[in-house]
Amino acid sequence: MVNYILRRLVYSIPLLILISVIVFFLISLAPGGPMAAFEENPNLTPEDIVRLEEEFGLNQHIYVRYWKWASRIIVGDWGYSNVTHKPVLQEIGERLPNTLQLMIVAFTITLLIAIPIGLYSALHQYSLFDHLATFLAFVGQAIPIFWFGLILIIVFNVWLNNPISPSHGFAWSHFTHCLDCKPLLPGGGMAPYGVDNPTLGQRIQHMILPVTMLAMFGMGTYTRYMRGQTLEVIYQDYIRTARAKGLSERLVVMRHAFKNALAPVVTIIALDLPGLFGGALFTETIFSWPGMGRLFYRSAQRGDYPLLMGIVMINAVLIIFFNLMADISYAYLDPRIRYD
Amino acid sequence: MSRTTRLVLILTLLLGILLLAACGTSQPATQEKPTEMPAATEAPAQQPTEAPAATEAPAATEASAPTEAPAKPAEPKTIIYGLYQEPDVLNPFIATQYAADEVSKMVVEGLVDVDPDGNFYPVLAKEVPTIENGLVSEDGLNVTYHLKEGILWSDGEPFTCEDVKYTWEIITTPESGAVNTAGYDKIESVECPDPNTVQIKFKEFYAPYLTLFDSVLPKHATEGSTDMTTWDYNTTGLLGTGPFVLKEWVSGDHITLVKNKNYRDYPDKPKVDQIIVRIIPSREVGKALITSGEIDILWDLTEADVPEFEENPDVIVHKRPGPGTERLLLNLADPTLDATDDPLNHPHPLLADLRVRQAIQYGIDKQLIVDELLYGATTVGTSELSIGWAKCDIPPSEFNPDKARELLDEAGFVDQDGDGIRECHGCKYAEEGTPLRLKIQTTSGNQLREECEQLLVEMMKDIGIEFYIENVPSSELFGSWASGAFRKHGHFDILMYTTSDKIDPQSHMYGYFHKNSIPTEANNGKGFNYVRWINDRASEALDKAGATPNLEERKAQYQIACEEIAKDIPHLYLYDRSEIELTRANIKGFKVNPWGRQTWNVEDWDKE
Amino acid sequence: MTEPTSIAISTAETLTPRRQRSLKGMAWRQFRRHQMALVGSVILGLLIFGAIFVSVLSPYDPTHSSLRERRDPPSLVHPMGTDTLGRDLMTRIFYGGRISLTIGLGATLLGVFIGILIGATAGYYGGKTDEVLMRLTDLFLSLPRIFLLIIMAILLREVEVPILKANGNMGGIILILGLLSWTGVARLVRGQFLSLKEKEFVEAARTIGATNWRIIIRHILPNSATPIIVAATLLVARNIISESGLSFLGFGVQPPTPTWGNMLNAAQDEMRKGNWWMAFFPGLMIFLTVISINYIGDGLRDALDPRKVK
Repeated sequence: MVNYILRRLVYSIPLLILISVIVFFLISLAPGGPMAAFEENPNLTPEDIVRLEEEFGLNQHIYVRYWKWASRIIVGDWGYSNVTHKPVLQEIGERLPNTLQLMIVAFTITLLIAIPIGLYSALHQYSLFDHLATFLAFVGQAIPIFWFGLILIIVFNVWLNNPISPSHGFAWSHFTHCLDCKPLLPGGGMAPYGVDNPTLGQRIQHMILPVTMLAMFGMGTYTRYMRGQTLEVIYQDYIRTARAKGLSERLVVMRHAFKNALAPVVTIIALDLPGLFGGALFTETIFSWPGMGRLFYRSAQRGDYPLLMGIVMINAVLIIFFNLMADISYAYLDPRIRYD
Repeated sequence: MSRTTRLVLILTLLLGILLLAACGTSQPATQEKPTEMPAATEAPAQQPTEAPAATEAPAATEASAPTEAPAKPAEPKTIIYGLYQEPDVLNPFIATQYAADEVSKMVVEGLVDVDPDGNFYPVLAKEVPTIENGLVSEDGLNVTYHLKEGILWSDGEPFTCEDVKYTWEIITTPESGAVNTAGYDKIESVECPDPNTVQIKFKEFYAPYLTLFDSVLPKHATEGSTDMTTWDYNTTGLLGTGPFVLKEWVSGDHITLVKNKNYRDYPDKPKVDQIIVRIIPSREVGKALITSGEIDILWDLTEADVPEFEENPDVIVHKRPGPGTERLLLNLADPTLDATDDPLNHPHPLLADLRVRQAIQYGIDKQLIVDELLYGATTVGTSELSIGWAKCDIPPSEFNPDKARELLDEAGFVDQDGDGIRECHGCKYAEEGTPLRLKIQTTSGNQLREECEQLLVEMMKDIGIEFYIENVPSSELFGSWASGAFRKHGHFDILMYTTSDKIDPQSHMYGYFHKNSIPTEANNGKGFNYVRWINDRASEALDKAGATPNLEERKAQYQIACEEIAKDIPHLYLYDRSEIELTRANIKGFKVNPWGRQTWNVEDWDKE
Repeated sequence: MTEPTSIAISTAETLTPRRQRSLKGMAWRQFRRHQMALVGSVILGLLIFGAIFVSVLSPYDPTHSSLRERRDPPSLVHPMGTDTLGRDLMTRIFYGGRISLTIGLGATLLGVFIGILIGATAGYYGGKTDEVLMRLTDLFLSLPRIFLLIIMAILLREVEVPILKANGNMGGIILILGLLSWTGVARLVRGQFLSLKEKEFVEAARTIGATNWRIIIRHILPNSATPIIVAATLLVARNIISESGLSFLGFGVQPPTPTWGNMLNAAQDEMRKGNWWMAFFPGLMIFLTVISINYIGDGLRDALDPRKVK
């Protein structure tokens, strides 16, 4: 086992190098580039342009730039963003906690709802509940996610007012037009603006809509997956044996079916975890969430290659790591699997 | 260990790792900052004593107003300003985005500024130097500013001529990384005979001299490193003489600015306690948020948004004609060549023929676009300089499809195969049989522009020209020379976007229309004459306009340039853009400024 | 375009290999029993019918504006109302359906083709080949989708191939989405091949001297068709959703060619103004199509799975 892990880790080094080369090369292909932002600026002299290109290293050959980047990254120097001139790690550090806060809450809620539903669905296959759950799971996959988010904002932020707060009396809809009415739910951001120490309640309020948006989407896939795995298991011989032994149905389900069905689900969860790091671009865009998704998108658009490389490399390391974790956890859970 | 326990263990482990990562990184967010960068909370001098409590949640007041809460537990008066762009850095000399100026203008002031009517007014200077008041020499080479007395930086240090001199010195230092140095390089010296007098001597006449020093850097706070890009000043260390000071900047979320107690008009102004600049990822979301009242001011709307908000009694639409004009750029050079410097011998096969460009102009019903897509909220475009002192006088073009068809027939474009699109049969530049098919491109995701394009496609179809749309994200359209962007390198037929001249149009006009401003290999891609228009009369007029301090003379020269543009149609003006902002009905003192940043009079903003 | 979290798992459901069943009649009977799958087939059939025959059935031109009728709510003349340029929404919906369904189908075919090629090679030859190809797949998966998408969109614009540029870059979008959707299929096919290549019928084919590619194409592939078909069905649905996401990011099909995605995107502002129909109908079409395809996929899985036959 230890050998196996070591071998995988050693293999991942050339993989990481390859990824960095490919991404670096692709970034340099994209027009736009770090200089794009300066383009419409009539106050820029030709000397300024030459100077800036030198500063960004754009006058050098791609391989020289890569070599410089790589030799710095080896010693742990991630460089500075071309756009904000802040250290790459600081940029990531400012956004990552926000992203993880949103993603972990959404992910946990998704699992807490989806796994029991999937299990129950499978145990009562073709029941009304099963049909309903299947339908809802498909609905979650069939709605374009940004459209759903916009509808959430329009309904819960624009149309519906908080009927308790205003001096205006009962005004639940924005069509009554009152200047001091508050929306029912905040339409974005992580906490109320202008508040120095937001309460937990306020933070939760701000998470309701984005979490709903994410959970709506993730729930379907996990419900279906859990259901599928459980169905796979309950036709196995050992379940039949357990039943034949006269174990109570509850015990059969919990001790045998659930446990065995969950094992592959855990693997899938592990494979999904690095995704939490990357954030959710659409959700962050619609709900003004200052997360990694938007940071990444901005740097991709503006050709901010030090930051882009930083995010891609961390992402790649996480993916490789969690892939390994998935395989190990699989072996741990299923004694039949041996890695040599 | 039972397998259930193992399972639970693994799940907890995996989630735990991520949670650890979350906690682990939330600390470094402040710790990892280089030590010289004061974290937002460690700037007590800038904290308002007026209890920084909540506007939306009275419950939080007790919690967040610790020791400073005096007898008056009033909430701070807060205005939330929605920007759909996040500033990259706040240092005005390295910032590249309009949004950055919008924020830094609340903190950083210059010697003079421009009001909404296009007049310069003194800010840190006592008066605007002109030839008439003797502060500018007859040849325009010597400019003197008398500074107001008793001005303090927000940290209490006095503001003097040395700061102005330092500003010039640092941004003209090659390694500073400053990008907005045009004009400053024309200065020979800045002298300080006394702390409140600035004498500037130019090497050669620089027409827009008043636009220089629209921001002044604090010498005492930024001295040390000559590499500007490493300064704290760019982000949390921003320091100025303006009405507000920067309190915190939460990346991707918001920037909080609070009253500057060392401001010269304090405590009368500013009238509100804090301004929170909220970063909104898209304009559509911004429109939703101002409707629901979550933000008080929304930046930069289009004419198409006007009717919706004029109907809404909670929102006021602030609109004023701006210097921008939405136009088509018609490429005159062969688009298959890379950045040719010889467009006359390598003409665009279709567009290089003036009659084709004229036909396109005759074929466009500009008034229909204004009336239908912009709800009559603006005027049809006629020239580059649509407002301001240098405004050109050009009559609107005529909508006359018959004349367009005639011109195309005459130019040798006839539809012989009956597909509705004309082909070249004896035309000037194109090969025989080439269909009159042109690519039109603008920024993708802009609904107004896409609607406009689709109308253009139909109008052109009507006269036998095929326009086809290929829109690209703005970062790609406005890409740089070094990255090979197609606009710079001349690989396009027709582009559609807005560009705005500044209060002094010289650099803009020269950049877009002078024959020396064609981006080529030789000049390292400098200049905005993307259509590769060579017109000696216009170029000469622009040279003259840039060489004299006489405004009448300059205006006459710009008129000549505008007339040449109208005649040659390298740019085809569609409609004039207005500067449009929204505020909630209880915001007072907001005044749109088409020449600058909307925060130009932020000290007068108030909330009822 | 899906949100990143779900990328890894969206096809996971189909990764589980199922045993084969060749009795087509029994499968059809089973599929018929799956009522929702039947309903889904009917809806999808109607949509495809509409998309094909809209040019005959509708009196309107999908790209011709009619400014006097801008933003008309649904009425007898315009059953789904009109859009911001006064074009009949229903006509555009069905023309848009043509493009959206073609993109969904085209991208899937491309993705499945690449997936089979890579998966089959890796699974059949095993060893070093397998190792290299699977690491390649890992590598591809560890590059962020959004990033690949932006790069591909930009690079494709430089290529002047008429077939890619037709219908407002429809070909280009198919290529992009196709290149982004092969990984799941590749892993699935590899798994199938790893287990099937040890089976007796493969041995038998080998002993009579069949070439490797003949064995792959004639013997193993047909036997792993079921899970591939199910995965492909779901991929079509995913690619239709992705098309709408591309439009949201500004990389979609160019106007005036309608697609469900760019119609939905253009209606962002209209929802708030109360012009619900412009956002509702394209959204409904995507919803109906995707949910129908999902049910059909579900039905196919049940029908082709021997254990479900009671």
